[in-house]
Amino acid sequence: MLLFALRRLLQLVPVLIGVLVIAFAVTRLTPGDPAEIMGGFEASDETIAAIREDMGLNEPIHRQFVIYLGNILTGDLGRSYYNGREVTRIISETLPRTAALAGVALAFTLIVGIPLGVVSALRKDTWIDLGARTLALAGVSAPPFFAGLLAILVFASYLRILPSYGAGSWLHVVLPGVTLGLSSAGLVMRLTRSAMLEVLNQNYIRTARAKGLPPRMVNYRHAFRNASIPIVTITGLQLGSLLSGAVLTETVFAYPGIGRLLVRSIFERDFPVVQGLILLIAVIYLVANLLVDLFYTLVDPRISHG
Amino acid sequence: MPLLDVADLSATFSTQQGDLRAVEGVSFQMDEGTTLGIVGESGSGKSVMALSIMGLIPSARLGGRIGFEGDDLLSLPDARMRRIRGSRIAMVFQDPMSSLNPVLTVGLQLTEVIRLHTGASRPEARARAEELLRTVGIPEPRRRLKDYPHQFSGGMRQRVMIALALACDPVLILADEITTALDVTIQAQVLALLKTLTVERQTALVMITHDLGVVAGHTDRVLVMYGGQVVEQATTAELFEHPRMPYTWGLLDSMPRMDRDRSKPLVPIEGVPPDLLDPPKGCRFRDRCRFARDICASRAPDLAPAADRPGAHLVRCWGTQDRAGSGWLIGTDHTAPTEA
Repeated sequence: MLLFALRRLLQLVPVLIGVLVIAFAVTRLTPGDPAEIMGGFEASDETIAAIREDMGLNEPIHRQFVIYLGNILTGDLGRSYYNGREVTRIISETLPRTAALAGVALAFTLIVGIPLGVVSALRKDTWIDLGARTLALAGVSAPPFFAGLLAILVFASYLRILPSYGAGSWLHVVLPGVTLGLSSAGLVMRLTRSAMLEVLNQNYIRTARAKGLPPRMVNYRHAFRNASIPIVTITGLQLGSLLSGAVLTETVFAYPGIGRLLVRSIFERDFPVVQGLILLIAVIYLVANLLVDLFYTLVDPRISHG
Repeated sequence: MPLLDVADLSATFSTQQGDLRAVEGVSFQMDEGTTLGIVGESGSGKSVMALSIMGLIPSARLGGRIGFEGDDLLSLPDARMRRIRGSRIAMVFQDPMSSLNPVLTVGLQLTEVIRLHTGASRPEARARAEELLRTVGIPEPRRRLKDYPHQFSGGMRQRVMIALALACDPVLILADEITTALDVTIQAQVLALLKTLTVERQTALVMITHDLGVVAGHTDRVLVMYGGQVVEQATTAELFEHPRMPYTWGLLDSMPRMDRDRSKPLVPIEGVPPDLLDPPKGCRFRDRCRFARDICASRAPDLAPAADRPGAHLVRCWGTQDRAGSGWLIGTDHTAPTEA
């Protein structure tokens, strides 16, 4: 198990190098010169040339990459072109806010999605099932800018119990967190339902019933454990997108997380920040996948990582 | 009082095309410690019947009566039925590869049923589970309790299934096609094991199979099923020596046997089983029967004593019943059949 984890961590290295190459290439190939943006409209050509020289943009592109790679290995992601602050600092300020957001969204996803899916499968074709499926469909299809605005309208404007924008307290995370979790909760609910229905049709469930086990034991010990394998896979992938894909939600709620930071940095051609964020998001996805793989070994004895 | 008294059992499924009656008018009795073979091809209703006794097909409408130890299983509430399942009546299923839960250890799957029905403590249940695995011939039982089903071969898994069935010393075991999914070399071992263990414990055994060969050495009595109905019923020896129903003749002729002239080719039963959504009006086997006459198409025969073997033999065939306008097959020797 430990050996497997170490091996998987080593396998991440080439993937990360690939991510770095692509992130670096994409930011350099995008039209727009950061020196011009930093200099502003009225800067003279000399000023811009000086800025370019200062930022190392005149080096050949492969030299720039080698320098960048070297810096990353020492934990230096560079400085923002825009305000000169260290990228690692900017990220370490922003990431916890998005992590809180994703945490709330994930909790919502699991607490709502899984029980709803299980109940829906056990009560297949009843009005409970129909209601749960309708909710899930609404959750999956409502885009964050719509669901978010609706939530602001109801909870912030009308009921006035939750703040509608900004960050600062736990209360600020509730609305954007739930909004962000809506679609993954819907997805997880639908997946849980179909996984449970499939498992409940298996021969070993018939065996469990033939043993005289009460429904509670059949459904949870025998069925849910098997159904949890696909659920974990999807939830793990959702974790990645919750952490990185909060762009729309953070915009609607003016929430200063990495989603908004990413969008702003792209507009400002703030290459070091964009590259840092791409690297961060890739790492988040890779770690989430690794956790999913490790979890498999706990749930499914047929998968062994010797 | 017989141990199991099935009377006029029927099982109907609602389908999009209408009602499908998978089992119709089945009656039989079993005494403690006896063995019964139920033979029939796919779709003859034999598995549905076993699952009905277990109360494991909620989607079917069941009719008739299943008397067991003084209760009618069809009218028992769920909670009481659960106390019988796995404890008084146990079932061994066809496919051992998929009938054990892949994510739970064999030990847990055994101990949970022991603890549920006997209230044994964890260590007691574990000791009992170990003893059961040893009984069914699994080497190193203590160690194997910690293993998962995928670590066992097909034959070993079926032994585990037998151990599961025996776990709470049931009085009746239903074995549904338990050798079908196994290698031929393993089939005889598993059958012999189940036979020995049920004889030792005086457990009644229902052996459901499509294979007359399985029935031959292992059961006291046989029901032959066709199209959801019992078409022939006799002791095993009687059935093999004096089969009275043309369908049974077909089954016997299509089976390789050591005690017959082996130079002759095996004769398959032509045609397909009846459509149970719209069963034929007369005898259900008529379309495939070489001996059918007009009466077979117009009126359905009852399960009644065979004219030449009364008392020993029930058969659902106009040809072998002694009634007005019937009985043209009385005394016919099926091993040398001539076109009728």
